[in-house]
Amino acid sequence: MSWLVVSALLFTIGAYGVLSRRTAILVFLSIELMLNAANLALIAFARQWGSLDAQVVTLFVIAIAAAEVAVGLGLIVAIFRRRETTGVDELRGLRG
Amino acid sequence: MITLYILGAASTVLTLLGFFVPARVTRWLATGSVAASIVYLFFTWGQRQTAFGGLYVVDPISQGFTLVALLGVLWALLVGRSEKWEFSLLLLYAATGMHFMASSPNLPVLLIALEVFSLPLYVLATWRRDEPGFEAGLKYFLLGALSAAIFLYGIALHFGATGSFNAGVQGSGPLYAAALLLILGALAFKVSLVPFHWWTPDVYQGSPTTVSLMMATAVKAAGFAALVRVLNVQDQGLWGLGLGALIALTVIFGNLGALAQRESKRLLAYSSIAHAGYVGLGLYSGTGTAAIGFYLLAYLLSTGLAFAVLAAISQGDVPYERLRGLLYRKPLLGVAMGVGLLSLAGLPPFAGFWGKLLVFLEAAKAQQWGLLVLALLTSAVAAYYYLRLFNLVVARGEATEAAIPAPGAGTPVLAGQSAGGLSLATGRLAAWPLVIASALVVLLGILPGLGYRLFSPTPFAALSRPASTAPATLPATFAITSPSDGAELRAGEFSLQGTGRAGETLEVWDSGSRIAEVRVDERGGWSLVLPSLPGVGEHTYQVRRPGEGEGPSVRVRIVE
Amino acid sequence: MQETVLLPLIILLPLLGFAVLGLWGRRLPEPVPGVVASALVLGSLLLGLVLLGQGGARWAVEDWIPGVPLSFVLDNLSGLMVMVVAGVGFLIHVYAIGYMHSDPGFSRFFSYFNLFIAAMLVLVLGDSLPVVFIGWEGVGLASYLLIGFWYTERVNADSARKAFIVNRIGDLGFLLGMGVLWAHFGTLSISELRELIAPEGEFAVGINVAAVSLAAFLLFIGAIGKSAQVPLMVWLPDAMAGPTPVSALIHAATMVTAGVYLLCRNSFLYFDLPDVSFWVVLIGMLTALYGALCAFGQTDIKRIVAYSTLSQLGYMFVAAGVGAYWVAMFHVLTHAFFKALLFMSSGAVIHALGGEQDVRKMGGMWNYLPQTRIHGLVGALALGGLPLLSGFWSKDAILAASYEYSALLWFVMLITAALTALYSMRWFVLVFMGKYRGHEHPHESPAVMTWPNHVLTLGSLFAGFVGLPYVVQSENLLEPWLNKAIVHHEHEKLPVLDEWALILVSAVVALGALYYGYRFFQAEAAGRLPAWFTRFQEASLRSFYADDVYNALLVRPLKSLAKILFDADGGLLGGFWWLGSATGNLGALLARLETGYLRFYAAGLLIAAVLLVLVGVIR
Repeated sequence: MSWLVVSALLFTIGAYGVLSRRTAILVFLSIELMLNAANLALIAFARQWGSLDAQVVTLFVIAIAAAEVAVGLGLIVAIFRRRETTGVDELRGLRG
Repeated sequence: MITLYILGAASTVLTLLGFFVPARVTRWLATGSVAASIVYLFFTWGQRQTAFGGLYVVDPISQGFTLVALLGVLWALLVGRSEKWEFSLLLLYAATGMHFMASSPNLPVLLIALEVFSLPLYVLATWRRDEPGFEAGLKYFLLGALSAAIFLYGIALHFGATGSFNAGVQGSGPLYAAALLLILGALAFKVSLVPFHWWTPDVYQGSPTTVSLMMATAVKAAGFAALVRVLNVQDQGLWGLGLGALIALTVIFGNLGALAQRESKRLLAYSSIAHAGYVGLGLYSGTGTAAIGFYLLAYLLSTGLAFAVLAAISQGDVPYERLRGLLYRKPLLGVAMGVGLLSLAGLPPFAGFWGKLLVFLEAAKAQQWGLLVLALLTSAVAAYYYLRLFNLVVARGEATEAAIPAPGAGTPVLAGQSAGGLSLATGRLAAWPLVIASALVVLLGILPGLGYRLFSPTPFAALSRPASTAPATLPATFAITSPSDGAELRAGEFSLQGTGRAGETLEVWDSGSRIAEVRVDERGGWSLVLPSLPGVGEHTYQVRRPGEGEGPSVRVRIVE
Repeated sequence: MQETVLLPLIILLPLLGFAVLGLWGRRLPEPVPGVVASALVLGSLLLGLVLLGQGGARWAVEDWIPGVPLSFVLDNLSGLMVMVVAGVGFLIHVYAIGYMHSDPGFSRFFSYFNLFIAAMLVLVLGDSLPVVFIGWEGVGLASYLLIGFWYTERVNADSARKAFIVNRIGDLGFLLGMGVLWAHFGTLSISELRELIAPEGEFAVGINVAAVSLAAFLLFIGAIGKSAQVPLMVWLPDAMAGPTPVSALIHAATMVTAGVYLLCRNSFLYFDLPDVSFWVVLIGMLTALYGALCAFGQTDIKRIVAYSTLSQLGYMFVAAGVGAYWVAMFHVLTHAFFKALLFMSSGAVIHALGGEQDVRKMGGMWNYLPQTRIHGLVGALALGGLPLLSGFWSKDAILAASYEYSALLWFVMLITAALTALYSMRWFVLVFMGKYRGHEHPHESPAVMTWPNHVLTLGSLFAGFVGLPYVVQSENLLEPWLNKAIVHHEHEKLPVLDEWALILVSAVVALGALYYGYRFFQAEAAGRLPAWFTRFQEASLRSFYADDVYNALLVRPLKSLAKILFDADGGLLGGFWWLGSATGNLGALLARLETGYLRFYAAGLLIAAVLLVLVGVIR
């Protein structure tokens, strides 16, 4: 049970990070933190139910996260090349 | 199954082949494989199949929603011609992911499928490679990743509460409720239900119009397919209120927000939000798959028409004024836009009208009167902004000079257009989808039953007859007449008796498993001595027509 | 009964004509649009006859609208109507080629005419009420277009609108009736309803009779509107503003009989509902009497015939009301012949006199129009019920059926029959007898107009022999043939003597009235009439003040209400503007939530997720 609390805490920290960081890289990093919080919860539940399924899912999630990183970093780098910054608050061309 | 093989194999092969052959060839092969998948879907329509230990299921939900999604991708492939071969390939990846999304009841697989079609979309959103494009891509990506994290956490909690990764498993307790609602929220992000919709207007506006076309149609289909499976749980109290709040906010925000728009693509983005709310109405009754499917098909055709017309004008922004007099300058575009807008507004005799009617009926069946009234009121508001655009399209007069940027100079948006290598959709290839889709919108408007039947395993099974008619007076019904519902019987041999249409064969099921077949005699009666003695406890006996999933049933308690 | 896609082709042929003539008709030289239109209607007729000869046909798109099939059926009942609509319709098409000669709207006329035929065939062949309703509205539309065909004159356009608006009242009844049936039986397919309501020729056990009565009554209101029965009769005389072929086809032979057809098609609703049927009888009787009385005062040659149409439609409703559905259809058949003949003879006279329609400026046509005079004479005699002509047999069948219902009804209908004979003679005498009172140079019509009339003359003479009373022919052609498609009660036949007595009485009354009318109205032609009759004619001319009553009771109050509403509307409109701009402003406010800040979006998303979970967990 205590693992779940840790996981929830980690998730919250990630969410806080998403809201408080101003650069795309750090926002993305915080989201990765949230993913890992979910992984932790999965592992904890896998123990509780005595099932290996959840652990396998965790491995898949790691792969998904890697794919996200590949695409995300590519995007962020491309934006950095063009704008010289990755600040998310400056991206306000589209609104209304 | 073959659908998956075609899409998967094409994706893999084209990834390697793309380096060696011209972009044109890649595009043709990608188009061909999507078209082949659609054709194959039609050939195997209605057949059920399960593979990978239940991780992949072909059923009416899978077929119907895959059809809508693939049609959306196909349209984008036909309209969007890029100099870069990766464009078609990314669309093909997305198609594969969407098909999987529509065909799996397993939550982790859904997550993977979600990522498989989302990642290509993040890239496609930036395809214009200009400021708005990058902004749209980054917003879409970060918010999408956030929603994926929420989805994953929902899955984890779902597993914790039920010990199962399958969607639609009934559970209880706060953990289960939290899991269900987190998953609901994450999927609401994909289909853009308020307040998970934030990305929609920005991303639609910043992406190339062809890509927006696909986001508005195919992504919604995939997302709703998953929602239908996830919300397939008996206890509506768990999610009913939450979904209701989402729908109410969605129809209000989508429709009112659209009033303030001055740019066509952004308007369509708001309209897509609003339509997601209407589709959501169909989720309540539990029998709304066909209605949702029909709605999405009608919406695909109508909003696809609007987007395709915009794509033929520009891949960037299209201010309202640029559409003035379109009907006279480009008759085909004008007609297609007109048909699309009227159908979006839900006017008969266009397909959109029946789509709305069907989901409203589902909501009425589920007694969601408040939401229904709200949806009706807001669709009246919607008519205003669609008709305003329609009036512009049919208005006499030239587009004002200011609205058409001079070639060469242009706004940054248009300058970036060539950089992305996406040419405008012109020529026969872009014209034919317009003609066909317009014709289909009208056809489905006149014969809505044709489309509805596609999504319904038994035609109109969802539209049950009003209850006031006594079943006995209906011709060709069937039922169990003895023992009566709720009866208590002493253990031992007993027989079931019932009625049916003379000469037909019925199946008898005991608590979900088939135990026997009976033939109805000439006088419309049948009787069955149970092949094996039923055990003590509660039994639910049900008769079904072969191939149907439901039928009248009686519940019997066997005592010592 | 076969499933065949040829059945909708019957409808598509004239529809094709409508489309082609409507789009390209103006480019075709004069007779071509008329020939094309006539040929297509003939095609429909032949196709219908072939299919009927093969034992009928049906065709359906099962899932047209969820729960409602798009289905057509050609059985004996609809087959008879197809024969009347396409058969008489074809003749009138041919006639119109001559009548509409050199009209600037020649092709437009035939395009509308074909639209009408198509819509009427939809109405007749439809096997689900919404399909019938589409045809019902379609013929209303075609009628509107054709009454106002010469739309440059304000009167014509007004008449067209009047017809359309009065019909709306009836249509409301039709719609509500459909609603009741849908709510209670969950289907609008006529054959399914028939299975549900009257499967074995009687009401199914446990049926909700009140609901069936309500639905039947509401549908009957629809029929009242379309067939111009009391109290919705005011539009029909004014509908004569259209060209004469229109009056012949739409306002005599086919469209106005749609109400009767609706009752017969849905006889399974009415046959066991004495209360509703009583109203049908009452309305029909009043209309028959009223129409006959009004015909005496008219001075317009077509309006005389129009009021006689009202009266004859009343006869048909009486027949349907007393349960003799086949008799009603029998009268529809014979009436189609002799009334179309009367209208087209009137048209020939109008044609001969260069557009003159006032009977006071006619007379003496016997000497000028050697062929039309025969047509007019046969038409008038058939209408008046001269024994052995078609009108005599069908009217006699109605009289016999009403005698079984009630002797009083029989008596009223007999009086009406006498009146009918009188005014038909008035029409004939004023037009053909005496001396010509005008200043034109009458000339006989061209062959393209006389030949259709020859055929109709034959029909008026002999059509009655398909439905002879049983004492003359123990089993006539029409009754068993039609009854295959109609739900009705079998009842005892009248004793042979009574039947003969009834035939004799009606023959004597008809002969007497015809003779008396022939003598009496020569006095009118000469301007020597008793004073009481002149007074009566004045009231009759104004159709016993029906329009004034409507104006006083409905139109004027409605107009003042409209005035009040219009004034209130100004304020209301202001309110709406305010509501509209308020909504718009709210929208702009909401749209400003899309701030463009990524972190704002993320916050919104996360807060929403948390709230959602809280709602679910706390609940």
